[in-house]
Amino acid sequence: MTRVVGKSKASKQLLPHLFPNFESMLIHILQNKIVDVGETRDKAKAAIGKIKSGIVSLSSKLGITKTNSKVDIAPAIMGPTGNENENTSKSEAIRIGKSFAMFLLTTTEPSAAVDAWAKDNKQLKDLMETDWFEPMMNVIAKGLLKSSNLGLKWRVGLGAGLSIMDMITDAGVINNYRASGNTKGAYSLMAMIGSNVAVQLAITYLQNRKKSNWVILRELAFVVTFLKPGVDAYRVATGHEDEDAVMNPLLEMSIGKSAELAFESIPGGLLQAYIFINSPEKTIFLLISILISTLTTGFSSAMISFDMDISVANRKEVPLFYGYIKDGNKERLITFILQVSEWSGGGVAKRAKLTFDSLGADTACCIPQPQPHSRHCPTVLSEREANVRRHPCRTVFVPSLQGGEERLRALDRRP
Amino acid sequence: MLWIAGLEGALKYMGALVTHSIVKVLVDYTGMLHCRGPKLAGGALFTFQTIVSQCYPFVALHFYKTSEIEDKTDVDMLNTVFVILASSWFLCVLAFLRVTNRDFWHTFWSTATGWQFTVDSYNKSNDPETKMLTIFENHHSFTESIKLEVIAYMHEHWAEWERTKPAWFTPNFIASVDDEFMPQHAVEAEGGARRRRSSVPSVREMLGIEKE
Repeated sequence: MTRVVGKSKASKQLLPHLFPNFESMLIHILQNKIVDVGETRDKAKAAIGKIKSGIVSLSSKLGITKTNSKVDIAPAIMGPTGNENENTSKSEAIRIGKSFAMFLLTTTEPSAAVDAWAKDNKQLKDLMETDWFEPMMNVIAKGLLKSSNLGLKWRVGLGAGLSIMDMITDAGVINNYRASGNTKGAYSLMAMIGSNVAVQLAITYLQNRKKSNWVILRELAFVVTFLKPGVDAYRVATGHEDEDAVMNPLLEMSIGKSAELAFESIPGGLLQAYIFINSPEKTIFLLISILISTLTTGFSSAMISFDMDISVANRKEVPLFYGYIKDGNKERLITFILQVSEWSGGGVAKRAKLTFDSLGADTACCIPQPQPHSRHCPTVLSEREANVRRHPCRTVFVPSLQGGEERLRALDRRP
Repeated sequence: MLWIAGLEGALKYMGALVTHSIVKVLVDYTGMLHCRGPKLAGGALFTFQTIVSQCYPFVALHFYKTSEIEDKTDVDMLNTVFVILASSWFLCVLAFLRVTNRDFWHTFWSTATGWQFTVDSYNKSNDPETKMLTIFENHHSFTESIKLEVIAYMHEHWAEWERTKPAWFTPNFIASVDDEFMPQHAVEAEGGARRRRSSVPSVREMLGIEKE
């Protein structure tokens, strides 16, 4: 901040008018903490102090106090100092600075976090109109995301984790099918995974066609090792820029995930559900694989819609379509949870529909089923799926972000 | 209809077929809101498909109920489960509408087609960047009807953009603009017939069918 603003005398004089207590806000932005332990402790101490002094004053009024020789002193409460106007603006600046961490955590792109944060805090309007504030905040957001212990890991882990888990369980299911003699099922699932990998390879090649062979090879290696979702998530979260790439990282990630949904997760999940229902052997492993496939589908679908809508570039390019998600942090969180929930409710019913459709088709064709009693299972599966999908863990945002201490220390060391 | 920018002829139709097939699967089985775009499923069709998907389980249950399957699961219980699921979905939709921006509700039942929406985006925007992205990031057939209007607009503002140099007015952008959209003096200043050109990434180019 000193580097950007401090050099210009005019800017230095102008800053207090644009946003009083700018430094307080910036310090709390750089702290990048969603839960401030120190602040919570102070608040708890203040509350206990108030209760104690209340009890003491009540006791003295009622005449319960044993000795009057003691002087009751209310505990010192850490609080703002100075005149009221300054305090208000300072506390407001601190609140605005602190709120940035949550935007950073719940938004995939750093620029989208800055945009939403600025729109949610009207006090920043003047600052956002300057030509330096938004670029500076974008750089800070990128830096915080990179240095954050949890934020980036959460995104990358979630992006890669779900896909990799899906692949591992699918491989296990294929093995299981082959062992049980269901080769048609195994080959069908292999074909789905293979078609997904083929499409991902094609997308990756088209995206990197202008680059060197080594770079193309590296990118293709990410696909075949199933690390691509994690790499994509990392690039989006860190605001990766590449002039030689055909698409921006967000679009690449969205297209990749959509292809994965259409070629593998959805058909694979449906096939597994159908085989599970009609199979005499119903192992927990097969059920878990179906549930992971379902989880990947629901979460990826909601994530794509969410990310595409809050993208600053999309809102700029197509303002008539993008922007249905409000800019407040609470609204964003609720909207995302509802998007996942909508799919959950609908997804369970849709799988049930497929199950009954397939059973109806079997009946219409008069194909004898080897294990008629296994038709109990549609309900069992649907209920289990419903319970798992309703589980709150599906939509949890880990409420913590750390990092930025180095920057804070650097700020404190400034002349 | 989504015509992918850079695709022409049979490839244009193949690209659209593949894209819309994928979108149909995504809408039916995920209800992905992004697919309601006028160039994908379209708002009205998206909502219709989503509602139909919620009705299908009851239709399937009816067939199950009237089928001759032995040892059926309790149909009444299944019906109750489906009613609960459909109701919770409906409540989620209501809550979703409540927390989202009202100005965009119309996108859930809009019947606008891809080219209508693109033209609308151009006409309703006052931002030159949005206007230019709308024209040059979409398939040229979407904006064929307003081509002369766009040319007039660009000729009128080109000098101003050269003077003020807005962030989007980059050499890459200029290289992506056809000669006819630029004033003659600007074309000559850029090198005339030999000026650097680049288009929206063409799939033909990417596949190596056409030289860059």
